[in-house]
Amino acid sequence: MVVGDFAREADLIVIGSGPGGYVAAIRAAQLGRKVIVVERDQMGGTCLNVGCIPSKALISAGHHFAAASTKGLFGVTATKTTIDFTATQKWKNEQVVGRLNKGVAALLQKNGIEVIKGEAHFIDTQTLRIVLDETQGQSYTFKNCIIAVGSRPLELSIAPLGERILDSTGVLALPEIPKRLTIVGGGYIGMELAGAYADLGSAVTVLEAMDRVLAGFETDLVAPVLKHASARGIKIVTGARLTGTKVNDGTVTATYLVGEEEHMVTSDYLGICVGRVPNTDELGLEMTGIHVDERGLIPIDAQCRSAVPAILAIGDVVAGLPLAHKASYEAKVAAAVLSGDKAAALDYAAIPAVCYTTPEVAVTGLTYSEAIAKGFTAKKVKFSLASNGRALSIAEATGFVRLVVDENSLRLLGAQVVGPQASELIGELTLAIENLMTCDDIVATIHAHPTLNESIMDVAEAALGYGIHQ
Amino acid sequence: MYQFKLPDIGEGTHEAEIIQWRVKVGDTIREDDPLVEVQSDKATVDLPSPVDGVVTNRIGNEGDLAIVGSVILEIDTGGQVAALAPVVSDNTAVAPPTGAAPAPAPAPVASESSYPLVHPQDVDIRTLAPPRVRRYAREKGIDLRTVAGTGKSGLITMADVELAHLRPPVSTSPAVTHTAVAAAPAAALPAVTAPPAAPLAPPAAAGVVAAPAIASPVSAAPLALRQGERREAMSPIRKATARAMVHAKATVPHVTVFDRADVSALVAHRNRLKPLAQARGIKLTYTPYIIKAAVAMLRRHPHLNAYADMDAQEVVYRSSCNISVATNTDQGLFVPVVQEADRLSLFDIAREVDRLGEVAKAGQLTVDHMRGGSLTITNVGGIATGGVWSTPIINVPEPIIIGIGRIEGEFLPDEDKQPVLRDVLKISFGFDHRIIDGVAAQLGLNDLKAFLSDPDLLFAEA
Repeated sequence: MVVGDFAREADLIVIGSGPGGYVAAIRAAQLGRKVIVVERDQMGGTCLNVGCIPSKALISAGHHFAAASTKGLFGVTATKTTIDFTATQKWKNEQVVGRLNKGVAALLQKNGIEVIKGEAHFIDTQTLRIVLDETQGQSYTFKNCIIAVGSRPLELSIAPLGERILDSTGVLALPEIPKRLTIVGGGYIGMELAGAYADLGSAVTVLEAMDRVLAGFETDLVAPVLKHASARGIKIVTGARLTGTKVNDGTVTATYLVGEEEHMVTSDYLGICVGRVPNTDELGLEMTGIHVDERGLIPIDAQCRSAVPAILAIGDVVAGLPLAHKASYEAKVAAAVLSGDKAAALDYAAIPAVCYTTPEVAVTGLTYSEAIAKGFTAKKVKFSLASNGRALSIAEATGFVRLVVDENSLRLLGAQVVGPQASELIGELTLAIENLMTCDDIVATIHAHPTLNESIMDVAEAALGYGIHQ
Repeated sequence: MYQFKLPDIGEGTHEAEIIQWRVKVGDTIREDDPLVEVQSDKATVDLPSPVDGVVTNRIGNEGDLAIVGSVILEIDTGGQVAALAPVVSDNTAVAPPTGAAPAPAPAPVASESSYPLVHPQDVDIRTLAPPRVRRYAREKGIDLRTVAGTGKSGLITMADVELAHLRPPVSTSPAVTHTAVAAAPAAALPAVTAPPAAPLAPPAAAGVVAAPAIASPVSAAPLALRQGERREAMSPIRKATARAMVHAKATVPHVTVFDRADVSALVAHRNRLKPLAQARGIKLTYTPYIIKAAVAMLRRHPHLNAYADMDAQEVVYRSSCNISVATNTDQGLFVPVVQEADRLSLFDIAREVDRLGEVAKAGQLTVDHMRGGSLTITNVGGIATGGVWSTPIINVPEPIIIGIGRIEGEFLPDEDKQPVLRDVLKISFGFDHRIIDGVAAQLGLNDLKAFLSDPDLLFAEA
């Protein structure tokens, strides 16, 4: 690394090209800034390459295979269903991830954004050094910088990553469907992967340290997921603390404690999905005077500004739910702030969160308990999908839509959905909550039939006291 | 968590501009450390911290207008650390996303001395209005807690915010608030400083926090520059002047009466007194005479020594005659006040005007120097090449401004209707028609002319 080269002058540098970085870059370019994006790995970041997108692709493949393997579903029985997982992975990597990689690159190019492949490190509050390879680097001074470097899987020292012990990235990239797969961590990442591989035919075990999996969701939302998992043969062990791992020849054994009892499970692969850490430790932040908190997050104000006003931060490196859409939202605010929009600010009431298990779970806004704790006179109303026509017609009539409603104004405060397409249904609900809509606003809007979506109208009507289908 | 609110810096002003932050998020501070430099229409002040602690949130950027009473800083004083508003911290290693972890309420803002709250002080504004309206409120600098919603279930609509934007500014004390004279009344405390550099990146990057209590100038799409044109950021004094002028013209119904007084006797009087004054180290201009005449007028017409408090719907009568004198300096036009001019002799007034002029030129006028004026005298003809009349802008909340033109020779008819060359002073007498009607104004002006025309009468009555 040559110290003391001539620094090139940049206007706005965005570090990271994930859903935070590339969105910020494009919006900033649209608003007139001259933008450079620095990416040390693949365009599109975690979400696109080793997160949201590939996991959903595998989940879809798993659903398809599982459905095709289910005798008599819709009267259809395949005598033999086979899967060429190499082809599955090729499809996922080329047709899904690959296309989106190219798409992001094309969008950046279309907006006149320069992309530099390299790793960025701060030299001071207005200078970055981008390391291009072992010997080459280039310094840049910038007027503004947006840190969008995301997060990486948390590693456990007792489970060093290798051929048999993998993080979520490794589990997504498996070359063959494992006969046996053990996942440590029953959060949404672990449960999604467990479900996908179970659908693909693996015998899956999930080890969760807390007393239940998906502990962030209310128990009645998780119950249908557990029921389906059980039907798929997924073994879920709660209260399980991993104490050791041992890689054998072609297998790996995990040792864990439940209470005082020691247990072991041997499988082809062990997936470590116990959380993620922000990539703030690799940036040279100490050279800027920006201090991270005890979780490695960068404190920001409502304009996404860090302690150094010229440097903004978004996405998984700042507090809040580590979700791609949160990063994208913050990206747009940050870009607006840096274009002189004085009214731009992080300002939202509801953010949807989705878990792509079977059935899907999606939540937005307040739970009933939270609403009560905040002092609302709230009520909750549930509508079962068992009687929804569309749900029946797709043979997935399990689940429900729940509304949390302010009794006085009948405004939506929160909503929780479990069932088919929960990820899609949560959209209308978030829109209604954010815009302070009431149950009669929803009922006054015609919802198409037959859809799962009309269950939202049904539950709103029930909240008003005169549900037709309730 | 200690919430530092922008205080009223002593003049009942509604808002102040953040000139320069002295701290940033993460800084450890002690009591009395300066937190931020702010400027209202009249003064630039460094605000000290009332507590020890660590700065956890800084609301508003340099160049923004913050509303008095709103929270501009949050300081962790060692108690429980609250999450930074508005992002929530829920990023534990194992927890899946909890759907019910939305952003907590934006930094609560208090706006005690501005408009009355119609919602609870700690209300979550996200429950009052949808995002589009919240953003609009930020653009217009409206604290949504002071806006009654006319939408369904009390929802605040865009129209409600628009109406709130047209509310007149509230002044809680009768002291001079937004003021304007012929030019800017901004002063420094302790010294007028050149405005600090605008924030970092071009175009001026300043955001307004979710807490809608911060007012910022609306950034309209700038018109493209044509060949040879250029842009310059407005200085804080210029911005303060602009705001004050607009306010004065928008709220005070100005009427200006143009008149002239035969001041030949006054000219002769001053010529006789000049050497006497010089011997006492005084440079005797016409200003002390005019001040004396204004004082005499006010004493004979005490109803003109008053100002309107429209919020209380009352007229406030002053007990002394304090005469503001528009004073030109390199930094701009300031209007210091000769306090209690009714108790001062002509020479005392001259000394005081001189002294205030020196203080003004040194850039050391304070808020107190410019407070409490009964009326303003402004020299509108000073650098004109011919005598002028003008329509000066009233120095709110004073009810009268007297524009003094040049003293020039004019031919006036004597008793025999023969033209005689006399020294004539053109007077532009501007007044606030909310509390002064035309007749009262003219009667006052008549006396003013009489005093200016006859120094003996002035001596007798002033």
